[in-house]
Amino acid sequence: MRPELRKMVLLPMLRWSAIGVVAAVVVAATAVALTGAGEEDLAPVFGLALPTWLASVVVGVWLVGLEYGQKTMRRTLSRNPNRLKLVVTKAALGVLAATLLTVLATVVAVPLLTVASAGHELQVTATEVLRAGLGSLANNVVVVVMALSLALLTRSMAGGLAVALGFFFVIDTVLTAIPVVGDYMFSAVAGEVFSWLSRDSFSEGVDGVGIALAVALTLVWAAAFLAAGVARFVCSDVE
Amino acid sequence: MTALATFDNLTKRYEGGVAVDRLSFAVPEGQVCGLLGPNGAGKTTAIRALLGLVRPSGGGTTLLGRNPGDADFAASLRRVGTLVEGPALYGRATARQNMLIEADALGLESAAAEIEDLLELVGLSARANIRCASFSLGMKQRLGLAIALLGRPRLVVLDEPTNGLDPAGIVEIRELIARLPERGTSVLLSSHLLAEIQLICHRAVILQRGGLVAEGTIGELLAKDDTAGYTVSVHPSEIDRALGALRRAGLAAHVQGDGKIEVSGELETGAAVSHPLAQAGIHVRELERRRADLERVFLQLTLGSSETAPDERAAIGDVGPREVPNAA
Repeated sequence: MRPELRKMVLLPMLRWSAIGVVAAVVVAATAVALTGAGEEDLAPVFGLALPTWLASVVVGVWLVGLEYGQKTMRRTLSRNPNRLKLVVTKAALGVLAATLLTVLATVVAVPLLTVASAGHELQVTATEVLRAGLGSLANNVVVVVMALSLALLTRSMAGGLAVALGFFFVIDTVLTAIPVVGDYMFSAVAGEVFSWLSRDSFSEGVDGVGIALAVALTLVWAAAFLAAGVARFVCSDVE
Repeated sequence: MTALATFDNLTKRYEGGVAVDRLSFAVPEGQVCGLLGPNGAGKTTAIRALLGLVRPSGGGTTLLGRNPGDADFAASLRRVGTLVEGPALYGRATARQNMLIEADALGLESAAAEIEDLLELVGLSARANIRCASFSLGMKQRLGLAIALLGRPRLVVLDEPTNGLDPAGIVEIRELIARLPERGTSVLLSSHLLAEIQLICHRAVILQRGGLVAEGTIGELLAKDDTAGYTVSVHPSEIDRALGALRRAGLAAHVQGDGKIEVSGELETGAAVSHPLAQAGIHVRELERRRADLERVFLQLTLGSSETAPDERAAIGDVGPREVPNAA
């Protein structure tokens, strides 16, 4: 765990990601201050959920893609030959990083978005932002593991990012449009979990497969991606 | 002598063919062992298999007595430094930070002093806080070597460690590698630079098309150079008489294309050549010693065996599948 933690602390990716999510919150707050909060949840979604989600994808891919991009995977494995343990360590750090980024963005967003919307008719409350942060956290810890798994499959930073963004923005989105089947796609079930957590009351229902099944399916998606990534990584030679 | 690394009939097949074919040899403790071979001979694949980075198709390897599949193989790897296929560095981290990451991977609790010593040893103290992405290839090689030596390993596996260095740097690093056994670190050195191997290695292994074509101490390998000996120049009218005199003295002699006489064999001094000629009253114009040369041995063995299958090589007595010494 220590060398992987050291890489995360010493290398600039996590710091850049933190700067990115904070900048996104500031931009969103500025927009809210100038034009108002807009429709319900719009400000927390674009100022908090989307940037932290993107940052989680990038960090997840980077955790593995870095080793292939810098050709350091053989150095890493010639110190820690247990590949499964290495993946678990990197996934745990990814979850930690996604959590830190989401908490940081939420902490910054609570005062900025509430103050920025104060002068407008539709106001963003601290509770709304906190709930959006909670929903984002639930999504991001899963997304970071899926992104890391895609980097294990593609064995590259650029390939991992391209496939991750292609899957989340194109393939998954298109498949979600299919009746019935679409309800079980990742973005549908993850969106349901986000909606359930970010609503005013947890007892309110949301459309879809139901929260319990949505949580289960979200975890199944992450497990399937991780299993595929681990299988390729563990069973193949390192160039 | 204890073997730190062993290759026991190691075979690695890819879809395109065989990269390593029943390779067997051992790296003894306390020595610098060279690994020679033309491009595609299987040197890097063999090293990767030793480190557990590729899975053998047959046979196996041990590193400090453990197989790559063993649960405690990591314990062996922690005592082995590697610089394989160029230095593997995190470009956004500084030289010192790269070493700190390695120290963590090795589980070293307080490595600060050793890191400073090694940076000094490879001449990078002044650049310790500069990001590696801006380093030249030579500087990266130096840092890669420093990283490989962190934690005082029992064995370092070095693949072309002088690649990218300037002439002064090559000499400096070569001397450093040659001194490593004195520090308790044995070396497996893969290199294309035959002079480098001849200068700093105690023994060498020569690979060709994945198989082993020769192995031994440098002296044993040099003895395979059947062109070593003397070149003697006499007046053109006396060449035939000189050949006769040399052959009567029991020496193998023949005329080269330039009219000089080549005398082959293990000859202690030039007197072994000049004395029979003097006795025959032949005036020697020039006598030049041709030392045994690893490059000629390498070319004789690799070019000479390029069309020879491993089975045939075993049959002609060079090498073949065999047992390896006891592992550490």
